[in-house]
Amino acid sequence: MIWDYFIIFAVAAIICWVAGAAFAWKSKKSIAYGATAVGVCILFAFIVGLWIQLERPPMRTMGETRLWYSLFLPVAGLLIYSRFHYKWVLSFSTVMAVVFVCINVFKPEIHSKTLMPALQSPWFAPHVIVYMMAYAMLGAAAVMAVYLLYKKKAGNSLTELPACDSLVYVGYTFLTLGMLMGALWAKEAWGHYWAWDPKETWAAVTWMAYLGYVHLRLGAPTKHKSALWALIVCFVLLQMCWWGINYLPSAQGSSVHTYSMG
Amino acid sequence: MWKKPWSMKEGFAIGAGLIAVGLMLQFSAGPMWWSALAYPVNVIMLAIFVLILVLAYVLKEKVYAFKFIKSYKMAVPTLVYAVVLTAIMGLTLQGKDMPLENDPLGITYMLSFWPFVLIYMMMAFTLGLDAMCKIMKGEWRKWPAIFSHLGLFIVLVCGTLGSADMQRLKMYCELGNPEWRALDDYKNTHELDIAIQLDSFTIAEYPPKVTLVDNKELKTVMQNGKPLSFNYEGGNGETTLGKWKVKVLQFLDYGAPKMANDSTMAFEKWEMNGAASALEVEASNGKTTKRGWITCGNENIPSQLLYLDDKFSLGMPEREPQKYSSKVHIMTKSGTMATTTIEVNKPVTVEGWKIYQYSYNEKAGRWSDYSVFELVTDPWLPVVYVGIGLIAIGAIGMFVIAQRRKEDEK
Repeated sequence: MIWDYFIIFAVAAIICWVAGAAFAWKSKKSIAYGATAVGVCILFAFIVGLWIQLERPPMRTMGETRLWYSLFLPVAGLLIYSRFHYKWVLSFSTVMAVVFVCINVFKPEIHSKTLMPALQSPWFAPHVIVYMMAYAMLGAAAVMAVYLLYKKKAGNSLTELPACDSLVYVGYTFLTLGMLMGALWAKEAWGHYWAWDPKETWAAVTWMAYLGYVHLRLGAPTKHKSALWALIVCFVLLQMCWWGINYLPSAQGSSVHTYSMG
Repeated sequence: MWKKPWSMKEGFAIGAGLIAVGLMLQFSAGPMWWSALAYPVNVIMLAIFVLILVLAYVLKEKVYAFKFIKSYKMAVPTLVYAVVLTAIMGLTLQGKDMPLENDPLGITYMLSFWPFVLIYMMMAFTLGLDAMCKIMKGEWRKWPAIFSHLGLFIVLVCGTLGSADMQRLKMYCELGNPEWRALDDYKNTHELDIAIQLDSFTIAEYPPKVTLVDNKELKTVMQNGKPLSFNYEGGNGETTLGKWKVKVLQFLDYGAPKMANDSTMAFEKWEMNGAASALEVEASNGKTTKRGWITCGNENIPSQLLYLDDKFSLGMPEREPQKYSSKVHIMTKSGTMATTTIEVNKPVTVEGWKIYQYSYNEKAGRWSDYSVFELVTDPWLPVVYVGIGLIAIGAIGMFVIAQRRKEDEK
């Protein structure tokens, strides 16, 4: 089973990412880009292999979505690095990606071939990939917010806040497209585009929270501290939507999004 | 406070006022009754809402509150209130169509909780007014905002007003019998202008699984977070489960038990109604070798494990459906006749009804003698789809803006 080889791919990818992060500190940009990109390709090759072996998109279980998340974090890191050239950003994205890879190494979740009929749809892959991309962008924005709050003590002349805005804008685009694809898919699979299922409720909460951030930035561009805290609160709400609801009594047995538990 | 220009503080105060009004409504009139909005009430409500919006647009220079409502300073508080109320909805167990018994406040059916309804109405009002102002001013440079606001306005208003006109019915179709009656959620029978006859029902199943079962708990044994099991996909499927080397000697997709020497069942091929899948397996731990039949069983045939030792047995869990579909004849009063296949994720649309494969006789599994279809009609759906399309364009616009901002900075 290809999962047994995950550790090899994971170690190879991590070595590349760590090298990329190290070269970013030494301002050797092209090597930093190259190494990180190679790491992404290695993990992606593993995902493709898993996809072929499972004969279904590897996106059903939490472990499988974590795999995509650890793929997109370095991608998000690369995008920020290419735009803003922060030396620390690749280290951050690497640490986060490594955490998610490690969870998958130590707590692998069931990777069986079965895919229930409701998930067999052309909407499945784009819905999940777009969401994971959004989560990676918004995760990067949250990390940046923490960095700005504690490193810079949120002085008045924050030049990095526009970077957060760009990340949120791009994340919001993916978040919205993921949600709308979910709505169209729900109409095909369950008969209604929006049924206030607990997962949908939390998707709405997350979506509106980020809209709140966008409007706060446009309406009160000088309220830096509020904006940074808003980013963190938004990301906490996003965690509820992603995996928190699996532990909520309100969602037990009533959510139709419970594929990940089995 | 209340000195012009108003700030976000006033916005939060207005939102709090709405919530107070909502609470008063909740206690005096009870939860909002959405089904009262069925056609034509919803169309009238929509007309009134749009009329008020137009009025607000015309009066926005004279009445400061209207100008304020469409500003960021009102948008942020409204979103904050909406996030908090929706998060409460996500944290509490929700009733199916009314609040739960021990909830005097009504938050366990948030969709009918007046403060929730009023905050979302406020949001729709803000969205509609802002979209109207931007369009009338011709601010097309801000197209992502226009598309997003107009789209969300349409989805919110038409989605909620239209929900009262939506019908979701379940139709139970037995093999070979045309059916035209369907049940709603309250088990009321509706006679429809559409009839469905189930010609055949088929299930494709995933390959059978062999698992190592704990004799005490009768559960699959887990090792390093992974279940000790394997999918049998042909050949002798030799594998190791724990300390046991397991191989498959025979697989019967359709089998029935015949008497064996001891109390266990042996199987033979039997391709008739009621047959169950069975595997003949051999397991060895180096010292002893066990051989016998395992089956997941069905309504008629009990499931059977192969006893290995005091601790473990081999078992075969119920086979998971990969796909199930119904071949049907659909007839309508207006004379449409069609033969088609309905399956999960592939509904069929006939004269305004979308027909979904909903369920089947799960106890009988592959021998199910009926199919349950869900019939859904939602006359407001095309309008909501327009709204969804607009939001999507707006979201892509945000992406473009993010790029544009980068270039501006350069």
